[in-house]
Amino acid sequence: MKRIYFYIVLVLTLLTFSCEEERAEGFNILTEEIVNVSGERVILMGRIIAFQNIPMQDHGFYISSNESFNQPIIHSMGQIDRPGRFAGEISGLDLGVTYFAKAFVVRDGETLFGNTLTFQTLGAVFDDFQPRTQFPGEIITITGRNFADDVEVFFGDQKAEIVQFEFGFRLRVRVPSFNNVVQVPIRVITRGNELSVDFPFNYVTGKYTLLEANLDEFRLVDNVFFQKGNRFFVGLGMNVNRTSSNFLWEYKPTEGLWKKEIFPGSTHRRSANSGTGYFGGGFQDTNFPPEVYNDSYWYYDGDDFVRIPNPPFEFAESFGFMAQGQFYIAGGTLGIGSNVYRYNPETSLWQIRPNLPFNVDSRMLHFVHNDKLYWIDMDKVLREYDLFTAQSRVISEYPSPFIEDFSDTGGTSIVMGDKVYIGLYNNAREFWELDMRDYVWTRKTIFPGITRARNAGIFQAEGKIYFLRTPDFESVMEFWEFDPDNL
Amino acid sequence: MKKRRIIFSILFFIIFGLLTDCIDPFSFKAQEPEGLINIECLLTTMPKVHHVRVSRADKFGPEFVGLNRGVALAKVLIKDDLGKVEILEEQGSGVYFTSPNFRAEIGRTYNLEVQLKEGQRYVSLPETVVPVPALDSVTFQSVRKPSLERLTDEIGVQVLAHFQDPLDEQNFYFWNLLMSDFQVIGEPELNHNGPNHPTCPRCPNPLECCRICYGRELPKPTRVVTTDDIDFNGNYQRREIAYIEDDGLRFKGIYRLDMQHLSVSPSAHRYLKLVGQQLSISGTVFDPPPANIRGNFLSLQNTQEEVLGHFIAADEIPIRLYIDKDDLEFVLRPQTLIPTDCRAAFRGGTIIPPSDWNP
Repeated sequence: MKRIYFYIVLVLTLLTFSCEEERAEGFNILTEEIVNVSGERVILMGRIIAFQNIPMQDHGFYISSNESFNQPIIHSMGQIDRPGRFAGEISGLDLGVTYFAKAFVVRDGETLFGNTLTFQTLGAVFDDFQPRTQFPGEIITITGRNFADDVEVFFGDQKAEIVQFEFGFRLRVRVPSFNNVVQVPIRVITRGNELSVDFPFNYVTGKYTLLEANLDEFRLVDNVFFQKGNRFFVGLGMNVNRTSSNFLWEYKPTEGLWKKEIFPGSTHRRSANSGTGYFGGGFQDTNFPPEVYNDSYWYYDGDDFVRIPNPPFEFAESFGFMAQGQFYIAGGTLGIGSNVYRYNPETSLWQIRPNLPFNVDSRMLHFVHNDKLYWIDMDKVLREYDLFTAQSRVISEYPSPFIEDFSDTGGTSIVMGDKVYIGLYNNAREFWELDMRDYVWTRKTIFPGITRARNAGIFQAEGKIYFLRTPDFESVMEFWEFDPDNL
Repeated sequence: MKKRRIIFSILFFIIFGLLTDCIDPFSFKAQEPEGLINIECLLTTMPKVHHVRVSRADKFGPEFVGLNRGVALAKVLIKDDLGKVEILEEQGSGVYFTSPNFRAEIGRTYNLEVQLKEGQRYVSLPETVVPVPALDSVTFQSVRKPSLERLTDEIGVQVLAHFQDPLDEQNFYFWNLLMSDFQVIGEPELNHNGPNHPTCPRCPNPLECCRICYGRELPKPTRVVTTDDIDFNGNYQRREIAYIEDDGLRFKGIYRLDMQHLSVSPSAHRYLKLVGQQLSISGTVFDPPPANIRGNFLSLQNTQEEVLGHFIAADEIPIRLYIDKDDLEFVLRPQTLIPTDCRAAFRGGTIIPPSDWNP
C-alpha cells in the first residue's frame, strides 16, 4: 500500500515538472518607421520585441549613406532593459542625400541589427523674405525650408547677423549697414548650397529737405490746393485763428518763393478739391456750425478763375477728383455720404452717377489711378472703385497702424506714374510707396518733421514731392521737399 | 472549570493586547503622478484656422473628474514631408491656432511636433492625407427606437450618406459632428406672470416677442462614427453617419446640421473606433472590455513615456444639412413648450439668424 502512494507521488511530480518549459531569453530588434525627415535631421523609431525584460548595454541607430554601412553615423541611446519602441533624432545630415538606417542593440558585447530602411533628406529652399524694404540695423524675416544649422545670410557681399533660427524654416536677420547700393540680392548659404530669390532687397530710401519758402502770416487749414504744370497753388480755407483766407499763393520750384494772389470769390472751406484746378462747395464762413454753404464752383485754367455751374446737391468735406477729363465729387458730410456727381467740361453739365458702396468723406485719403478711384477707409482698407461699372473691391491694407481719432485721418497722397506715395496721417511719421502694378507697399524714410501738423497741400515736380504742412503749435507753415529715391 | 475560563480569558486579552500593540500607524502619502500629456489635433483639407489642444490628463472617475488643464507656452509645429513648417500661436488654455486658411494637402504626409517649455519634445507618427470618396447625397429620416422607458419610444433623426466606395483601395471613414445651429421655437403668447407678481401672480401675460430664436449646440447623442470598408469594399453605400435625438425642442423648427465627411488613416481609425467603443459602455454584459487607447505620439526624450491623444490628418468634405420639421415623417410628441420669450429659454439664443443661414 505504501508503495502505491510512493508511485503516485513520483508520477505526479514527474508530470508537474515535465510541463515546465524553459523559456529562452529571445528577442527581436526592428527598425520600425521613419517618423520625420527634414534637411539635416531624421527621427527614427525602432522596437525591441521580447516577452520579458532583457538588459542591453546599448541601443540606438546606425545611419550611413551607403548600404554597406561603411563609416556610419552611430546614434547611441545607452542601456535599456525593457522591450518596446524607442525613437531617436539624428542631426548633422547632408541635404538631399539618400541614407540607410537600421536599429541596433548591444547584448553581451555582441551588436545585433534590425532591418534596414532608406530615406532621403530634403533639399533647402529659400521662399521669401519680409519686409522687402527695411532700414539698416532692423530685422527682416526669411522663410524657406530645411535650412541647416550652418546657415549664413548675405546682403550682396555683406554678411548679416542671424538673430533667430527657428526650426530650420525661419530666420530673423539684422539688415547690415547701407553700402551706397539701394537694391541688393539676398543669398542664403546652407550646407554648401547657395539659395536666392528673384527679387532684391531694398534699403529704405527717401530724403526730406525743409525749404525756406513760407507763406507770410498765414497758417492755412481746410484749404484748397492744386497744380498746373510746375506751378503749385494753395489757398482759400482759413487761418488757424479762424480768419478767412480769400487768397491763393503760387509757388514755382525754379523761383523758390510763394506769391500771393487775389481770388475773385469768397473762401471755400472744406470744399471738394480735385487738385487739378476744379474745386467748389464747402463753407464760405469760418464760424462753428451752423456753417454757411458756398454753392459756387470754379476752375483755374492757368490764367484766370472761371466759374462753372454748381451741382444740384450740396457737397462739403467730400472727395474731389478727375477721371477721363471730368470733375467728380463724391460723398461728404452734407446729406447722403455716398452721392456721386460728375461735371463734363465740354457740355458744362452735371450728371448724377451711381452711389458709392460706402459713405466717404475727406477724413479718408483718396486718389485716382488709371481713371479708377481708390480710398483708404478708417479701418485701413484700401478699396478700388470703377467709376464706369460701379464695381468695388478691396485690394490692400495700409501697412501702418491707425489709432482711432488720433492717427486715422488727415493723410495725404500723390500719384507719380504707377507709384502712389501715401501717408503723413495726423500724428504719424510713416510715408509709404504703393506700386499699383502689384500692390506692394514699400516703406520710405520716416518723416523727420513735426507730426502735430495738418497737411495743406501736396505737389510733384521732376520726380520730387513737395508738401506743405500747418503745425498745430508753430507760428509758420512748413514746406518740405521729398526725394523718394535718394538717401 | 471556572479557573480554566479565567486563565483563557486572561490569555485572550494578553494576545489581543499584544496584537493591538503591534499595529503601528503607517503614514502613507500617495505620490500622484503628474498628468499624462494629451495632444489632440484634427487637420483637414478645408482652409480655415485649425487648432491643437495640449493638456495634461487628470483623474476621471465617478467621484472626481479632473480639469485636464491646458499646457501653456509650448511650441507647436505642423511639418509636412516637403519640409514646410507651420508654427501655431497660442490662444490661451493650451489651445494653439494655425494661421487663417491653413489646410492639409492631399497626398502630403504631416507630423505634429510639440515642445513644452520644460524642454520635452513630442512628435506624432506621420499621417498621410488620402482623398475621401465623394458623396452623392446626404438624406435624413425620422426613426423610432425602443427606449429604456417601456411606454415611450425614442424618436430621432437618422442622417444617411449615399456614396460609392472605391474598389481598388482600402478606405477608412470618419464622420465628425460639428457645432450646429437650430431654430428655438417659443410660445410667448402663453406667457404667465411669475408667482411673486405684485398685482396678479400667475395671470396670463402674453408677450409679443419672440417666437423664433437661434441656438447653437453640439448635436446629441455624441457618438464616434467611423468605419473601414473591409465589409463593403467597392459596394455602393447607403450608410447612417449621424443620429440626433429629438428632445422635443430640436425639431420644432429648422435644424442646421454641420458635420465632416473624412478619410482617416488606419491608425486613426483604430484609435477612433476604440474611443467610440469605450464611450458606448453602458454597464451591460454586452459592453466591450476596457482597453488601453494608444495614440500616435512619441516622446523624444523618454520613449517609455505614455502620451495620450492622436494627430489626425484627413481629407474633408463638409456636410451642411437643413432639417425642416415639415420634412420629417414624425417628431417627438408632445413637443417641449417654451411659454415665454424664446431668448430667455435658451442660453445664448438670439433672434438674429447666422449670417449664412439659408434653408
